[in-house]
Amino acid sequence: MARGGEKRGRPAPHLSRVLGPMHIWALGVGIVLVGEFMGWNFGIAKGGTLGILIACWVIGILFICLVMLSTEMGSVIPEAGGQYAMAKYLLGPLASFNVGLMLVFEYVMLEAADALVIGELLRTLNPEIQVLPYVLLVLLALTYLNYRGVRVTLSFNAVITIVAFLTIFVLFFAARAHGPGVGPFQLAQHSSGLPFGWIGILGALQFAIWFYLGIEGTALAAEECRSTGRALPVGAIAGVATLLIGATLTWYVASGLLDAARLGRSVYPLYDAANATGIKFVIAALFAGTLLACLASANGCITDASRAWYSMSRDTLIPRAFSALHPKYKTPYRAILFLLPIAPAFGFTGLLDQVITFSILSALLVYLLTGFMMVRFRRMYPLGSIRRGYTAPAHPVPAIVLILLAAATLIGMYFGYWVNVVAGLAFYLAASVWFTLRRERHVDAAAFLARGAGEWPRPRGY
Amino acid sequence: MSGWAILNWLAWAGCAVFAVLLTIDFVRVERGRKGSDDEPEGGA
Repeated sequence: MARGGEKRGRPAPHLSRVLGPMHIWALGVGIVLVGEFMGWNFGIAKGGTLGILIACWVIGILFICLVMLSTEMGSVIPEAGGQYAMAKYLLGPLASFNVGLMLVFEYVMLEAADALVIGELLRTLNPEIQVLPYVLLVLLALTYLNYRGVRVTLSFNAVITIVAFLTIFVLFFAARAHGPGVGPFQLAQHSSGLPFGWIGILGALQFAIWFYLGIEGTALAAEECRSTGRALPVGAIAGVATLLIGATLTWYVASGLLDAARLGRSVYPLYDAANATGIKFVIAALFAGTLLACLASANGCITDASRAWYSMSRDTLIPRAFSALHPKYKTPYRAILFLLPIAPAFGFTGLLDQVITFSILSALLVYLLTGFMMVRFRRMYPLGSIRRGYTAPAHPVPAIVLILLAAATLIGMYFGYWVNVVAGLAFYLAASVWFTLRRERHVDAAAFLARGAGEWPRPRGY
Repeated sequence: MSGWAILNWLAWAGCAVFAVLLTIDFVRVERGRKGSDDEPEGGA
């Protein structure tokens, strides 16, 4: 590891501290809400209608644990990077390089999946529509928004996320009001129950994760919060509560309006459920809702991926060129532009399930490491040794639950997509070998730990 | 030319507009940065 190299004398430019709890909520829910509109329903084919519901609750527990742990650690580390920044201080350069890379791919692959769904959705309007220019237009416009500033980006996200969320309620109430004779939601007739028993629930876990995947991205904006200790926990926990309500309502509405066989294959289940009602304004609302949810998700993914890439560069884990900030907008503009072509490149392979699987695998690996980081964090800094914005209760129970559930989801994923799991792990192994052999010697020790060294006391046993 | 075909062309035009806006600003910032090579990069 190299030493020195920091340029002294002038204060370095930094990201703007302009975000409040509402922006954090918009970032977290905006990224994830698209999971209500697509993806989760493939779990019905694996575990049945009841299997996906139980899997949804189990994964909800995983995410509550994850948000509690991330919020405690994130409230102490006021830096962009979320889990990446935590890995930096708790696990060292190689682990933080991997966590940073996993976060970047989690969000870039999610953005690619959003682009794919936007294309599929537009194609339903008219066969004359060319998908490519609209998808590129969306990605360029969102990149431009991110380039111009984080506050305007996340304020926009808040508006479109709220509208998209409300369309789920529109479907619920409109279907109740106009449903056919015996009742609008025919759960008993449409349900496939638990066709494969408890093992089916294990298989459905990887799709249930789609209801919440990416909520941890709230921590990536820690450095840009006006008050990190308040904005992060309030925004993130309100986000999880919103998603729990949204996930339950989505399951109820979609499972009640579509039979299990059709729902298990749908690319956009809520839009198809709206079509099943036959009510024009509901169909239009859910078309708009699906589109806005994809936009909000892609927008948040650009924000989060660029912050993770920026942080890795600033800490010299990758070349420092990407840590440049825009002199006027205070955004990591080089990182934003560098990552722009990756999402459409993967998106236009057309392989939605492959893209989603790589995103989920990357996320699960981060969740596993987060559990281990929390155990290490509490050992290094017991309660009272450092000022926390939030303290997770009942430690180490949440960390153990998180590790067990993430491991169970990985095992379930291995049954269905073992080639993808092995290929993904091989990719991160190859990246680790490259980092150890070629990059680690360029890491600037002073730059890597300079920020935390001044703010944190020495850990216990140091 | 049908309405959908016109919309397709408008979408391509929108792509070009955003690409040009991003390129112009990026080039302007990079040229300004060259003039102050000792400027430190990100970090507080």
